[in-house]
Amino acid sequence: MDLFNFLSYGFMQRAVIAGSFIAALCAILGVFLVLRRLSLIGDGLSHVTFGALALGLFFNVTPVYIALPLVVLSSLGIMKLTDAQHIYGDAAIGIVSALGIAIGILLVSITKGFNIDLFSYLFGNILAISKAEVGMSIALAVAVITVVALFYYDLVAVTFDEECAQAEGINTKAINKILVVLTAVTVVLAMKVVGIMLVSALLIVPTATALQIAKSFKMTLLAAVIVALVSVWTGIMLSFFLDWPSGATIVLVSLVLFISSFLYRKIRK
Amino acid sequence: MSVISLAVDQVTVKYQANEVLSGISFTAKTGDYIGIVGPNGSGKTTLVRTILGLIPPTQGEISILGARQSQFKDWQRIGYLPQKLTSFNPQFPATVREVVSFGLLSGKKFPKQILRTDEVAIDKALAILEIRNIKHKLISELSGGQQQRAMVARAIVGDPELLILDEPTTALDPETRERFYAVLKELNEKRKVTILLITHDIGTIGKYAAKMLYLDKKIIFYGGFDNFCASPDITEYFGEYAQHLICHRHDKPKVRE
Repeated sequence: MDLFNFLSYGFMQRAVIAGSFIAALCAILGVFLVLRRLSLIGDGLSHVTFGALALGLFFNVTPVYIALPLVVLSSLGIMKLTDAQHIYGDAAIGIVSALGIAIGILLVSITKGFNIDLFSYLFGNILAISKAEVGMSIALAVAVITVVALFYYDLVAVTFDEECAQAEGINTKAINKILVVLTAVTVVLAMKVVGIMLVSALLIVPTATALQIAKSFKMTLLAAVIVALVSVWTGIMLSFFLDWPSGATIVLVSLVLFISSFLYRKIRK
Repeated sequence: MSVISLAVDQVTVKYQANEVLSGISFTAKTGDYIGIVGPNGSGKTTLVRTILGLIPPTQGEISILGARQSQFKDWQRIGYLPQKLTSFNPQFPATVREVVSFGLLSGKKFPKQILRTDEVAIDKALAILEIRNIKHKLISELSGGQQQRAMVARAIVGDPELLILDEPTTALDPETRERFYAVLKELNEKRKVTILLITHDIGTIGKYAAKMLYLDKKIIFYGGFDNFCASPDITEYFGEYAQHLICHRHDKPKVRE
């Protein structure tokens, strides 16, 4: 079979298009999250997504319609808890994450175990993405990237040094809220690509790779996006030809790229 | 005629029951160069953070460049260098140029953009700090002293009228420190920039700053270095021997009143 023949299938075209938008989105937000040492917020919110999906399946509502508002609210809840005295940021993420998982497990057990839908969300199956989901992924990805572009310099300045940014009149609280809300939307979108279990990898690994080679902030963003795109494209292709699970394959490709860049940096030194 | 750049009136700051600053009042005129000194935990950093609106005062009023602090919006008129280099992530993948450009954001309208025309201001700030040669280097690849100079360049790139520096010389070697003080002196004398500088080095700052503000939760002394050395309040506070050691650590001060 021609190597690129697989792109003639409609489901592969949808997977590549939606995967590309979501990968770029994860990479861009991942740079800000990793540098803010907020990497694990993606993990925490993905656990909330699990609870929200279980809720959707329990009430027989399209899971994403429940997940999107609930995960956005949870992201703001994490911010609120972090602002409260005596609660560290990672503890706030842990608290909200535990709540999501606990509710999810409870609902799954009430509905007598896992069903196929929940399984596909947990481990991702981009090859099964529908036309409507592609449309929603593109629309939300474009919206999120537009917001990042509009607040780009404020986001970078707050990420670099929050105190200085605040002293320069930047509304750091609003910028932090924008960042976590965008992350919440992205986590919900990315679950179809790599699954709830691996969504934080798509946020963290491309940035970790870009940081090994980048020579400026803009180059870090660009490199992270390229790494994420290559991971998704190669992962989809390998999963098609080798019949491997798509989410895990995408993440494994991104990890191979990370290890390569890490070794490249070591050798160069 | 001197204009008041900063007026702090009866400012008290409490963290729960703990009073960190008590009834602080002083004014700084345009072109003043004030060294803020005091022991660890005396409230120096709290004072400048309160002035900048980063900490709300429990009581009192602050006015900055003619406006009440709560209504002050022209943050580009103020340059600020926080206490520690660790306030930013030293592994951050930004070039010196990118870091310095952040200092221009407060003067920008939404959506903020760094334009080609901003390069002139960036180059000027880099030239003043003598770091144009490392403009495209990553901040993470620089020494502590170079990082400090990049941060000072960020603080002055917007051509501020009021410059607030919190222990800016801690990462600098003696030679660089002297050059740094010379840069501040030039900004202060030629451009009439009002400077508030926190330091533990009372002897050295006495050589450069026209005024000293000695803080220990309240103001112990505010005035010229000569007066500081002759102040009975300070003698009472330090004891004669310690006052002698502080005041004779350097050449005769050049005090501008």
